[in-house]
Amino acid sequence: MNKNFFIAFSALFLVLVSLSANPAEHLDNALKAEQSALSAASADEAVQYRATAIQEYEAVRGEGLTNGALYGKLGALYLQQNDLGHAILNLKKALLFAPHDRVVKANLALARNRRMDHFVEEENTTGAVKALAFFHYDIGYPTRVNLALATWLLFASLGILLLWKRPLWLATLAVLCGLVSALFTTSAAITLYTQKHNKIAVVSAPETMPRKGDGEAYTPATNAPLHAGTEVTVKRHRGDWAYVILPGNIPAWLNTNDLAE
Amino acid sequence: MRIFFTILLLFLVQLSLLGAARIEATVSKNNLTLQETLTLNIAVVSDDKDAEELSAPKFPADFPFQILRQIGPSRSTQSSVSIVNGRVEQNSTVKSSYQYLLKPTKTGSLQIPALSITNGKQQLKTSPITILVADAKQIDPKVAGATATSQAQFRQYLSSESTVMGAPVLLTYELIVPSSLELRTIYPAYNEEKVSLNFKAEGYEDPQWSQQATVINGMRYTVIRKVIHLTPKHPGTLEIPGCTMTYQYVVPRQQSNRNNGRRSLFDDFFEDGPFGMRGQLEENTLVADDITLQVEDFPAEGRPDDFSGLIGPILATASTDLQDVFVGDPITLTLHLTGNNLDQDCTLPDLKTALEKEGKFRVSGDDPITMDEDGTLLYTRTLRVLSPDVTEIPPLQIPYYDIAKKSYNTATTNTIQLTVQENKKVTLGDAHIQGNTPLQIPLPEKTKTMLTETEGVLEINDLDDMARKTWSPFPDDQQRHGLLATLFLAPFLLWSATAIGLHLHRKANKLSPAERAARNAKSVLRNALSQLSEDDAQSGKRLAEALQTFLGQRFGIAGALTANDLNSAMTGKGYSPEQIAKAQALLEQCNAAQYGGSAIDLQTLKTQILECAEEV
Repeated sequence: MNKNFFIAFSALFLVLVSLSANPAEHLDNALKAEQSALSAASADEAVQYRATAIQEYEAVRGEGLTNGALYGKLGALYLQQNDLGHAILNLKKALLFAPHDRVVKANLALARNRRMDHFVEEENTTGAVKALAFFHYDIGYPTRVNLALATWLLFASLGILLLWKRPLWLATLAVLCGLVSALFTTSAAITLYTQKHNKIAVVSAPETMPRKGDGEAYTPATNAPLHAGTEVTVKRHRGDWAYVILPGNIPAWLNTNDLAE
Repeated sequence: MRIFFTILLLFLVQLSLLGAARIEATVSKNNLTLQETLTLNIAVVSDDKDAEELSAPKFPADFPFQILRQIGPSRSTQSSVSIVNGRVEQNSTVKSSYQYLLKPTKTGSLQIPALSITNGKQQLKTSPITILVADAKQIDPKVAGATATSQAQFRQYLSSESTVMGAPVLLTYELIVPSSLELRTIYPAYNEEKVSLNFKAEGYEDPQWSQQATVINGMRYTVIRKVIHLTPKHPGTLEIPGCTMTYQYVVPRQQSNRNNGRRSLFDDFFEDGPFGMRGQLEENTLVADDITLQVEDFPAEGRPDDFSGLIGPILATASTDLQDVFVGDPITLTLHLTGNNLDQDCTLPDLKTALEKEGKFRVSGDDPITMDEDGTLLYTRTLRVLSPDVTEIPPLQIPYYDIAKKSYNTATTNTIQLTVQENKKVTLGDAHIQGNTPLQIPLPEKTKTMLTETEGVLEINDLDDMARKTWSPFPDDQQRHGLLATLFLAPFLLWSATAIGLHLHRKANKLSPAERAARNAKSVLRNALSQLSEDDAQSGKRLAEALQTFLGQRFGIAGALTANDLNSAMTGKGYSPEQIAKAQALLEQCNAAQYGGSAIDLQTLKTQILECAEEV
C-alpha cells in the first residue's frame, strides 16, 4: 500500500514537475547538460549528457517555442552525436529562419560532408528568379511575416485615414504599403505551403532501401540503398510509409521509421 | 591614199605604245666608300591600271654588292585630268617598284648590270649603272669632290680578340662622322638576339651613346660610341654579326635662284629661323662587318666534378624559415649567392642530390632561380627532415672558376642548426614515392601562411535567441496560427468597422442640398469673421462682403444683395417680419460701415452677424 502510494506520488510529482517546467527551465537544463558533456570524463558520458540536452531542447520546441537558434542548436547537438539525419533536418529548418546564418551553414556543410553518399546539388531555381525574388530567398520566414504584418497594419491605418481625406501622397503611400505587404504575405504563404506539401525530411536510419510502393514487398526504387543524411522531400503519407522525392528527382517510398521529419 | 596609210601607221604605233610599261633604275649615289651603302630603286611605270604584279629582279651570282635590305614590291597609282580645247582627258599611271639597300663588297669601278623584270607577259630590262667605290682611307678630304658622308665610318670592335670562359670583353660600336656634318638622329640596328645566343650582353638596354670630338689627319671628327659588356656563354669561335647604322643629317640649303634669286622674308624666317630647319634632312646607312672572338674553355686541370660553369668569386650563404621542426615538416631552404658574374640563367650544381645522399633530407620544389634587388641570386627549395637524429643542415659546396686567380674555388654555405622532434605531423608532402613512380600530388608549399578550418561542430550558445518566440513555417510546430490570423484580420476589421461607422454616421446626418449650402455658407462666414481685426482699415468692407456672401449663398441670390432682394427671399422662405427686419438692419449697418466710413464696434457687429446667421 505504502509502495503503491509512493510510486503513484512520485509519478504524479514527475508529471507535475514536467508540466510546471517552462521553456526557460528546459533551456537552463539543456545548457547545464551541455556543459556537463564538455567536462565529461569519457566520450560515452558526453554522449549521455548531449542526449539529455537534446531531450530538453526538444521539450522546449514541443512547448511551441520555435526559432532558428533552437533548430541550429539541435542540429549541432545531433551532429555531435553523429545522428546525421536529425542534424541535417534541424539545420535545414534553422536556415529557413535565418538563411545566411554562418554557423548553421558551416554545420550543415560539415554534416553533408560526413554523409556516406554524395549527391550533386541540383539548383531548381534560376539565378534570375532568385535575384528578383531576393526577399523570398534571403530573408528568414519570421522576418518576412513580421514585415508583412507591419506593412499590412500600416496599409489598414492609411486606409482608415483615406476614408476622411484623400491626398495623393497618402494614397500613394497606402498603395506602396499594400504592395509590400502583399509581396511578403505571398512569400510567407509560399513557404508555408511548401513546408506543408513538400516537407523537408532526411534519412535517419544508417541504411534504408527506397521502394517502388508502400511496402517492403515492392521492388527497390534505386540501384543502391540510401544512407543517413540523404535529404528527401515528403509529398504524402500512407500508413508507415511516405511517398518521397529522392535526390535526382527520383520518386520512391520510404518507411517513416527511417526518416526524420 | 598615202596620207591615209601614214595616219593609219601612226595610229597603230600609238596603239602599240598604249599600255606599254617603262622601267628605270636609279641609285642614291654613284660614288661611295666601301663602308657606305647605296639605295637601288627599280621602278616600272605603266598606263595599264590592271598591270600585273612585278616579279623580283634576279641578281647575277657575281653581283659585286651585298643586299642588306629589300623593300617592295610597292605599288602606287597617279591620276591626272587635263582639259584641252574643251576635251577632258583622264590619265592614270601605275608605278611598281623595288628598293634595295646595297653595300659594295670591293673597291673600284663596280657595275650594277642590266636587270630583268617581268611585268605580266612583258620582259623589261634596266640599263647598267656604274658605281665608283673607294676605300674610306683613300679619300682625301682636301680633294675636291670628297663629301662629308663619304668620310663617315661605322665599325664594331672588341677589346680583345680572344678570351677565356667567364672573362668579359668589351664590344664597341663606333660611328665617326666629320664635324661638318650636322647629325640629327641615329638608328643603330644591332643583331642583339644573335649576340645573346653566344654572350651574356649588358648595355643594349641603355639608349645613351657617348659623343666626343677628335682630330684625324688635321680634320675634325665627331665620334659617337657605345660599349657593350659581353660574357661568352660557350667556348669556341663565337661570331658577333655585323650591324647597320643609319644616321640622318642636314644638308645645307643652297642659295637657289628661285624667285629670280630673291628670297622672301618669310623664307628666311620659316626655313632658317627657329621654326624651321636650315636645309634638307637626308639619310645614310653604314655597315659594320662581322667579327669573331676566340673563347677558350675553362681549364681542365683542377676542375671539380660538380662544376656547373659558375664564375666567381662567389659568396654563398643559406637560411631557413624554421629551425625547430617535427620530422616531415616542410622547411624552406634559401641559398643566397652573391657575385659579379651571376645571372638568373646560370646553372647550379645538383644540390638536391647533395642534400639527399645521406638519407637525412628529402628535397622538393622546382622554383626557378630568382634575383633580388641587390643582385643576389636566390635558390629556394623545400626540405623535409626524415629523421629526428638530424641536428643540422650541412654546408653546401658551390664550385666556381675564379677569373682573378685563374683557378677553381668553392663557395661554402654556413651550417644551419636544427631541432627536430619525433612527433611527426603527417602532411600531404610526406607521401612516399612508391617504386619509381612519383605520386602525382602537388605539395602545398605555403601551408605556413594558409589558414584552414578544422573539422568540427560550430556552436553559438545564445540563450536569448533560443528563448525568443518567432513565427514558424512548419505545420507540426505548435503554431500561433490563431494569433497570426488575428493580427492579419484585425486591421481589416478595424478598417471595415470604421468605414461602416462613418457611412452610418453620414447617412444619419444626411442634409438636404439647401441645408448643406447653408452650412457651407455659415462656415465661410465664420472663417471670414475670424480673420477680421480692429486694426484693419478695410474691416468694414470685409464685414459687409462676408455678410453679403453669406446671405447670397444662403438664399441663392446672385450678384449684389439689396434689402429688397433679401426681403423677398426671406419672405419666400417663410421667415417672420421681425427676422427679416433684423437681417435688413444688419445689412444696412454693414453697408454703412463699408461706404460711410463711420466708426464701428466690430466685436458687437460680429456677434450680431453670427446671431443672425444662426437664426437664418
